[in-house]
Amino acid sequence: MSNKRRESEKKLAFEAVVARYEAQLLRYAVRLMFDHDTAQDVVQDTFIKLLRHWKGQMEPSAHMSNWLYRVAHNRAVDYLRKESRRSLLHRRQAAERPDHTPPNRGEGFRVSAAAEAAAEALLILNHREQQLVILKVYEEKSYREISGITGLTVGNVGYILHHAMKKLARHLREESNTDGTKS
Amino acid sequence: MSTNPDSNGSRDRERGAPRSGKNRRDSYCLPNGKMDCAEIRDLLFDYMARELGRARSDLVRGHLLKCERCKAAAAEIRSAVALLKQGGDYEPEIPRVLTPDRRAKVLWTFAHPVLDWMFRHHVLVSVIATVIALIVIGFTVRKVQIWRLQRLEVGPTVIIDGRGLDDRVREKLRELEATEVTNRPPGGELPVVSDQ
Repeated sequence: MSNKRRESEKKLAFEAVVARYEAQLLRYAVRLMFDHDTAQDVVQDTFIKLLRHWKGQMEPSAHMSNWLYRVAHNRAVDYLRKESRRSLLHRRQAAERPDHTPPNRGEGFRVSAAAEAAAEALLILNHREQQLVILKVYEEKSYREISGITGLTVGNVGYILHHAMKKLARHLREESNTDGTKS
Repeated sequence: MSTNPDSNGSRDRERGAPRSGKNRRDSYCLPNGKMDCAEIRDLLFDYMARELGRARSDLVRGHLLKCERCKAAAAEIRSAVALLKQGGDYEPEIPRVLTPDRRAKVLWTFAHPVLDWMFRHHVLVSVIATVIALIVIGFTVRKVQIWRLQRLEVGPTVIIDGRGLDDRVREKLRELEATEVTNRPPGGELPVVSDQ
């Protein structure tokens, strides 16, 4: 087989992988970062990393899916650690002001008050808990799949999720108590 | 609450072993003597996520029918999940594909792995390029210096192999050979002539 043909087949296989995973990785990254532009950057970097480091066959598989989620998560966490501390601070300061306007989260990003509330609730969790909650609640992955993505044991996944949900429930209760006191 | 997921808590959960210590005090509503409320509450999210086996699911379900406090805890978790699910209503807004420029960047990386490597290792590439440039410049400067020294030291020696000589020069050389030149330059040699 000629080199040219082999190259074109490799390119087709790679494009198939991108087409297969881009939507779900974008969804995951947007939920993790709540920002379209940075989510796009994260997914772009994830696929570039796949090109550079993937050793196996370039075809969709459970192993590749887990690998992509893990890379996207690590890239997102890196980004959040570097950049979002500052923007988070700005967001919190803005939220404390009475004339608070929703932050700019990228072009075409419009969310309801419920979505904003969900995102704010997620912010009380650490990155690991956020990752697990998003994978479980939104991506509807099983504990076993989450274990494959994160490298945690199935027992640890359940443990962390349990405590994350307890934290969220407590946060909700406190929020409703505060609202009750105000009204 | 233990913050370390590797602590005994998770291992106990996997084995379904009873909790020890202060959590046991919450066992006022033991329905069947098998699990107490603290243990049931640990399983609530697993139960809602359908991650429990049938036996433990039945146990949790049965417990929730009888225990109001655990039912309230379950309702709290359910409302937290509902809040998160409501947050999913911006899903149609989430782009389903990469933007064209980002897709182009990914495909460029696929098509140009060497250039991509050079961009990634730009510091190393810059250092190597600088070293090569310095070596070439040094070599050239040295060559020029040697060439200049040779020109200064060797003097008027002329080596002509006869090919492509101008006719007038050839004629002059013949004249010189024929008349056996007497006026040699002081301390100098006759020009070496090799005419093939």
